[in-house]
Amino acid sequence: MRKKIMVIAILGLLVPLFASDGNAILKQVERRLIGDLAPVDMHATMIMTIVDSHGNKKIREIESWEKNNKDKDDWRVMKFRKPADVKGVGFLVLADDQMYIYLPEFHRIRRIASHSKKESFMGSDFSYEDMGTSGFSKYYEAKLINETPEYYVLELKRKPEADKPYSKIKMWIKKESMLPVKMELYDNSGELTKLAEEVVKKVGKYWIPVKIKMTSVKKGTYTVLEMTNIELDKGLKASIFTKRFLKRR
Amino acid sequence: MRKFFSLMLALIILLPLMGETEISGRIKMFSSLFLSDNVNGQFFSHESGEFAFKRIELRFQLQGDISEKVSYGARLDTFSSPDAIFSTGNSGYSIYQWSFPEAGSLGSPEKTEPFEINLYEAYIKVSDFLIKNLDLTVGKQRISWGTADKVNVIDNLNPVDFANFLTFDPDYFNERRPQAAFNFEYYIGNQTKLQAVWLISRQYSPLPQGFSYLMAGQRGFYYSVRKEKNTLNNTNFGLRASTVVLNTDVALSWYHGNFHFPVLYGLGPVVFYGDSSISEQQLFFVPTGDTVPVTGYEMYFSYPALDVVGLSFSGEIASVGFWGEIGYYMPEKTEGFLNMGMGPTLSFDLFEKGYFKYVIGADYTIGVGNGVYLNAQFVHGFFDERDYSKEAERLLNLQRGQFFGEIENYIIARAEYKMLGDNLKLSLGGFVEMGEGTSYAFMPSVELRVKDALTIEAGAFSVSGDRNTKFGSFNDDKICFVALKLDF
Repeated sequence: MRKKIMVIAILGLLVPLFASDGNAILKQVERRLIGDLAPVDMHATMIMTIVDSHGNKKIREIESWEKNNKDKDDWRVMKFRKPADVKGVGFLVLADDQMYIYLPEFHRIRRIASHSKKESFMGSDFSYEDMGTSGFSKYYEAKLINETPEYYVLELKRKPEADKPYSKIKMWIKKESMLPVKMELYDNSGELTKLAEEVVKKVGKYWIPVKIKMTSVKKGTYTVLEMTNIELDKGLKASIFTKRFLKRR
Repeated sequence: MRKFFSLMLALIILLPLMGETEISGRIKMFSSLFLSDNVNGQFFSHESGEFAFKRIELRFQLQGDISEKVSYGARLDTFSSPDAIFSTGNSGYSIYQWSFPEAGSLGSPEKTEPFEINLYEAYIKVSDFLIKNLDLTVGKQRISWGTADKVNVIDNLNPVDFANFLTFDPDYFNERRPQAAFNFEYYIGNQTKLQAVWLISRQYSPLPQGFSYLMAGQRGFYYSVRKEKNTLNNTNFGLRASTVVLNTDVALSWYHGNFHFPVLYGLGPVVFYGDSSISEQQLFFVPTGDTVPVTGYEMYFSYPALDVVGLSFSGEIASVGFWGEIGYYMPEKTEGFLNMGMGPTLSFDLFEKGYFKYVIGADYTIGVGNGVYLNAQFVHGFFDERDYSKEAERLLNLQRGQFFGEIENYIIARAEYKMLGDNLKLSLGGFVEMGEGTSYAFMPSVELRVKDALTIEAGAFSVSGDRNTKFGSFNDDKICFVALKLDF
């Protein structure tokens, strides 16, 4: 009986310990994604290949600028280069709740509210939310559920007050880069809805995800997002992340 | 003005030789069909199954950079309208071919031609012009003000394209025409902008072919329009300051210009001696020979000066987007008159001194599948409406429920749902007109992206409700359309 009580007590101590490890590991990941160990800024071309359930492919090309801001939300500008019917459309993200879209046909910039983040990004398997850079620890409680010589496996559970689409995320983190290489994303009913697989590469002094495959498990579709022409820490000016720049070609 | 545009066109042709140029464009086929009979309709005369409008559109767009700080853009629209005139009305006079859909005349308002060409925009932009953070754009350009979704009450620099309004082509619904202007934009920090625009002429909305009939001919009146002389004194300008306050985009603006639509200010008797020619001022005329006097009534229209002070804002609360525009309209003092030939001429002020138009709206995406996008706006004052004095309303018949009549209220809403990887968009739009009576419009549509850059859109426009309201008068003009678009 005493032994049983001791085992329960140890387990009781270990669970918060694992949770604490989980959150600490997640913080390490975030330092590399959006924190002090992430590039200060990035300019890249994103090639997006959308594959439907019949294997048909569609290609999108987007030019992207990102700035990693200390103590506030990151900034991002995206301009669509291909195909012709969306060419020139641009997005400016200054905060989680301050986003703009530029429609070149009407020379008009419209503010868009954050509810639009639920929508699919350009008809791909990514949502605007998935494309965001707001991190995880603010919205999820992490628990370390497994560890191998190569990976940490975390389970992230959504905090009650968080307005996020995924109730649970299972995340495989490569120890070498301390970045996620695989994520299972679960919907509100607890079912697996998407699977993200990432190729992480060292560019200069940074580890960064250069290729992400997002699979919609139920629909049988997937999208591959590949980063090319990557430029890091080029000292992108604040004037890039403005409506003025958004209207430029 | 013609010289100015010729120069602009020459520049646009030469500019691609000087730097990197991108050429893009669109081919579009649009066709609409009446779904109901309305042989003696107010605006259209048709039977069910008749084509309403057919048009093939080819658009060319050039964009390029001459240097890091100098860029340019131009768009040339060409239209071919097979069977442009679908309905000749009942008068038997060829001149009375008034049905609205024959309009669609972008390049040549008030005329219908099987082929039209229009320099939609042509501009040169210089960044950091003279001083840092000052951009100057010169040429024919679209300068959009306001935060509302399509029904902007402070977007007054570019007039509404009324020539295309009743084609029921959704691409042209409430769209505005670029104007020749000098546009200075000065940026302060990352979120604040001061803007000064000098429009080098007055702004006039292009009107459809049947407009003169609608305004005068149907009532057996003659019709004349007074326009101000094209002088430096009669040019317009706009000023605007915009910034972000408490995470809300806000802007203050001032437009000094003119009404874009003709304003009826008088009605009186007139005697003409018959002549088969039609002068610039006399859009309607019955040819009667050389010496026989014709008596009748003439309606007098003008484009009075107008100042609009505007406030706009947009932001979000708990993920719900919101926006609003308030415009305070100050028309110049305009004297109206009425003389029916019996008794003295009655004179009166045409407008109230100042009046408000406003729009407030919100949008949200509810989480069904990919999400259903909802958008709703309350509109006080459609683009053609004004607040007239009581006398003008009564004596010139400018009440609510008519085009160019007194201000009314509207609720405009739409829901959109995208599926099949955004390749299929289902949309249900509509509005409620709340005037003396109430009318309801429904505009369902389906848009299928067949391939990248190739879309087919099909939809309908149907109104029900009180026939004495502005849109209720389209009760028997139910229409469906199909449009095929290829972007390149």
